[in-house]
Amino acid sequence: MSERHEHSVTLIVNGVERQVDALAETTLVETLRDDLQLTGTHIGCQSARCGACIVDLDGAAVKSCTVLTHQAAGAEIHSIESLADGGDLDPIQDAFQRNHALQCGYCTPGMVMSVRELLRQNPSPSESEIRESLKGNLCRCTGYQNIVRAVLDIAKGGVDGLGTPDPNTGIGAPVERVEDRRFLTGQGQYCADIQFPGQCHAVFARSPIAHGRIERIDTSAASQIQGVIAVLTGDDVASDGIDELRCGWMVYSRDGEAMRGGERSILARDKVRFVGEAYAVVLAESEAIAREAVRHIKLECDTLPHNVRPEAAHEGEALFSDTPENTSFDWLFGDEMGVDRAIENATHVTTISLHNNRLIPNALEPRAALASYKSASGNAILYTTSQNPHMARKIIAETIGFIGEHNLRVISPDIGGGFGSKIFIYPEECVCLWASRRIGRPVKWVSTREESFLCDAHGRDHRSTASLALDAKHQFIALKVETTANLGAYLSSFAAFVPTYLYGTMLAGPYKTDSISCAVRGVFTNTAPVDAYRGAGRPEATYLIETLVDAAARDLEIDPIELRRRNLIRPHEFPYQTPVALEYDTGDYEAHLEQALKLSGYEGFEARRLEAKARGKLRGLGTSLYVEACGIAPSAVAGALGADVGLWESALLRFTPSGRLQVFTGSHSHGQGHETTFAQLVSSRFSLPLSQITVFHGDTDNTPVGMGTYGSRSLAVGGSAIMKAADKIIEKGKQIAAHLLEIEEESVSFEDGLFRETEGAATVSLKEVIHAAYVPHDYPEDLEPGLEASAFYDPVNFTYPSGTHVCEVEIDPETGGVEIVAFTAVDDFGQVVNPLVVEGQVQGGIVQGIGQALMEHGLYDPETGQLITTSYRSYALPRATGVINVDSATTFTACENNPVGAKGCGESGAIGAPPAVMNAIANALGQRVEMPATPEKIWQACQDRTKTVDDA
Amino acid sequence: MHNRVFHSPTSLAEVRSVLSASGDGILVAGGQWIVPRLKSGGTQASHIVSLKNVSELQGISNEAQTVTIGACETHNAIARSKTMRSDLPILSTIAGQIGDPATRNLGTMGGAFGSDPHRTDYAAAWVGLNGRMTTTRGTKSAEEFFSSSEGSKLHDGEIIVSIAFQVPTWAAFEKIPHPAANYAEVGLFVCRLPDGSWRVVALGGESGPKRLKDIETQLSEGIPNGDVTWPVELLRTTPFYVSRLRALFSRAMQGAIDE
Repeated sequence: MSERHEHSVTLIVNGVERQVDALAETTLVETLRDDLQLTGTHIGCQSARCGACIVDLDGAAVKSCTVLTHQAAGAEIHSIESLADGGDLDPIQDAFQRNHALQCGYCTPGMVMSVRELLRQNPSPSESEIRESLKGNLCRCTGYQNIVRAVLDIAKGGVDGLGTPDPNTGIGAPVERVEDRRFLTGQGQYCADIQFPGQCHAVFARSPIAHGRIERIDTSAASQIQGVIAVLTGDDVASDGIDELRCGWMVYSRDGEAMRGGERSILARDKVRFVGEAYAVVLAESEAIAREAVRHIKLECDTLPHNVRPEAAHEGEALFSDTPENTSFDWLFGDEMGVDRAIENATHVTTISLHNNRLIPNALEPRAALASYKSASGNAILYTTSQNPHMARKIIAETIGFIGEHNLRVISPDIGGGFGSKIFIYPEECVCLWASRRIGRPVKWVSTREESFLCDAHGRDHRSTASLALDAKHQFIALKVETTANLGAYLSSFAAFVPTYLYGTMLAGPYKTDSISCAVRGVFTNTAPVDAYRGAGRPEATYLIETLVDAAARDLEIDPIELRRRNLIRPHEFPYQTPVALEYDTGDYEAHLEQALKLSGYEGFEARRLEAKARGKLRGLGTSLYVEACGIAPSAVAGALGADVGLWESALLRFTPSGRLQVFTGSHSHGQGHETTFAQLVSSRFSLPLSQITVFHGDTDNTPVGMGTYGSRSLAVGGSAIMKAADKIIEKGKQIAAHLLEIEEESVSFEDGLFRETEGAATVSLKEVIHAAYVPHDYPEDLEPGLEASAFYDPVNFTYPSGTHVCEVEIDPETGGVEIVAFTAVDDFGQVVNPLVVEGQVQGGIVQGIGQALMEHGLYDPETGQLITTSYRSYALPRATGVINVDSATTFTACENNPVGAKGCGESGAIGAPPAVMNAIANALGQRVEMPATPEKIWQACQDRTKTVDDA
Repeated sequence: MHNRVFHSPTSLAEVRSVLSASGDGILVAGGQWIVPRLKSGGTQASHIVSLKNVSELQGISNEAQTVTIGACETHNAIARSKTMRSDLPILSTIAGQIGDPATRNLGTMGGAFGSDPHRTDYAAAWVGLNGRMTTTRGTKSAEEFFSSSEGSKLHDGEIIVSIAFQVPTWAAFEKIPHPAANYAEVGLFVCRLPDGSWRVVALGGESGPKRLKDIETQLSEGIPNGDVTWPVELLRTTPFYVSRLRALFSRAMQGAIDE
């Protein structure tokens, strides 16, 4: 093997001449990131499809993953880092910030560079020109709406933005996000941006087959390659006594047996069970060498029959010895016999079968890990893309075994989107930490997009049959659901919980259904593990209910809105005990239904339908209502449902001696904007400007032990912990103030940043109290100095956001093309802390939901067991051109069981949108099609429709 | 490890000598297809030859109603070229709809034909406009190119130099983009040539662009646009595809009617 030769190249980067060494195949994005540390340019796909790496090359926007550094010799390159002039944002960056046009920030630099290109060519583009120009930039968070709005704002010649000039930065204020500035200028710091001196690179060898018994792994040729440090396999995992990863929730089958199977070795041992499963890892001086060495590992396998179809799981070759029929659990919830009796006696029964399509989450930042173990101290640092770093620390430490939780520091820095897929503990980060100890060097791994497709936990994939029984007055009397949930090849961290308790308990929806039963068979197949993806169980339940209600309305030939109205839980009926364990605290479903109908111009739909018909188009309107359970979760309830963790959240508030406030939270922000919204909570409470508050999250060494971010829990649970800690600070502050004012503590109240004598005029400012706390010269006896407080908050109940979504589509019967022409969402999230952030969550969630309804589908080939959709050329995601602006609004009912009054908003869009879109399509076609509603399925339905009309 | 060498020749002669000396060189023009492939290990070649600075591969000209485009002209250069916009606007339009702005800034027409000729949006227009391809081994017509799998294969070391199109008196192109990859999942090119004949070329079938000669004949015979009869054998095999083609055909012909 010869040495690899680098040659010097001169580039002019951001106005400065730079000389870099590059291999012939080195790309410009690699040079910018690795050699010039310009890490604002990101890598999302390495295939010219996502746009995260866009830079200017000689005045034209290019995808820098497709440019060889040597080809760029002598060129002038401008990256995102060149835009802001000192502290001043460029007008595009400014418009993005003021229009809340970014969330996780990962796509943002590329998006900004694309907008720059557009405005160079066309200074006043129309909305459709803007959307067209951005179709090469994927954004998974925003739904594009605010990005388009930001560009329109610039195009019209002056940025208005969405925020108000109101100096109030507290609860309810639409303030611009504090995190935006670093994302917009390329100063966000994501996992892949971080380098340790002496780091080496890990690349995994992944199974090319879906199912096989490992006979032998020959690593000798790979080990010989110059620059390879070590090649490790499952045998090394075994000899080091590394534990297996397992699911954190226990589910029991209807016969009382505990769920079975699904434990996963961090490198495959004995068997490989899905295409892409890691069976070896190469550690090398560079990623390129490691990648090359992986090609020289020989996997000898006794190929076993595979099965990727959940409906055939019981006939397939067993994946695990203790699950001969590939069934992990056969779970039953509710009174199935009672439901059967009710169905038998019902006036009308509608039965449907449906598939909730398999989704591949595709956070735009691929997963990554960087581990460094120090043998002298026994300490380690692990940077990883985790939505819950504290849980990662606990589980990884327990799994690896050689390190205690107290010695392991896990840091989740800026994270480029999660949507659930970064909750779980995956093998790769465990391997990096373990390998770092084995070889005594830091180990870095960054996933490719193809690996993300193959190995990140997928979502949904349910096959269900459901029957709704109605009485003569069209009241829902019983609902029977039977579901087969595809678990994939292993039980991922939350896998057993999602299709059971997060699903079965949601089947009442917003309706008064007397009795409900739900039977779920969780089965193993030779596919990637399936776990929580935005909404997790609740979208599956909502899609099922709302599809069924519309189907019943079609059967009964009554208005689906009217059928819903007849069965909604009324405002005076709260708290409402559902037949599926949950007690909804508050809600007013008619309020958002009626407002959504009004906003969407429901009354005028028939005229629009006729107008479309005259143009040869089929127009349909669909509605969906949802209730979701968020604020996960009261720990005792979680425990009763099989969790082996509590689901509280933590906060630590610290006033510094100069009166600034540091907020440390156990939640994690990966696009949600907690650094802004959490600061708004305490801004309100202490009457402090945001500039004097900083929120810290993601580092297990400087935040209190927390449970992380998922299930729309951060504000309701994490925010409540912050409010509790603030209460403690104020209590102590009152003691200090009473001393300073020489009055009784009971006579002190706190508001507007002042401690005051309740019945008098004497006041002392918060700042003076803080000063006294840190300079306790004149101070209460027996009181500790300092002013900080921590709190843990364990919710008393779930929260129950709800909403109504209305979608209108137009179908071209000749092409099967479906266009979403209007989308309205009215949601009740309780207390809204920042309407901009909430609106952004709604828009982005809805666009993800539209993706599920119309295009996204993770497909395995049943013959070969291969994943077919492994790139952005084969897996379609919503782009700026395919979606429209969402018209959204909120209604309000108080959520009284947490101190913030918040219900949660992160998942509502992904829950409400798919049934609204699909009901609109069914309305247009007069029949249902399965998701994703591809042109071919729609066209086929149009043919059937024409045939029926002809026959009639 | 491969010790790859980067070359940036400035003439075709130089490219040829590099290729013959190296044995296993790969050509990089706009890089939109080959660079990701190079990074993912899809090609093991040890010499990378950039065509960016080869002057013979540049240029757009119109001589005797034939527009010739250098293989390394980018999609955006084609979309914005004054010659193209005045003499062959349909191709400007097609070029301006390929990929996205950033990929159009680098991706080239030669790259489109060199990597995936059966699927590039240009292919239908190329067949319809009596296209010709000049390579370092000679020239061939679009019909020859697509007549067999042999015809569309480039030999080792063969380089596409330019692509030529006849200027029509009228033309239209309609496409339904692939939902993920954006190329024409179904495309339809219709034009009228100076001799008065019609060309109708469909994209998105299994074997690349295909002339619908039946329909061409009907149009030449003056059948009103909406009333063409679609060949029965086509309708029988892939009714969904044909239904979409028909829809695109009516859209495309709308322009002819408007004129």
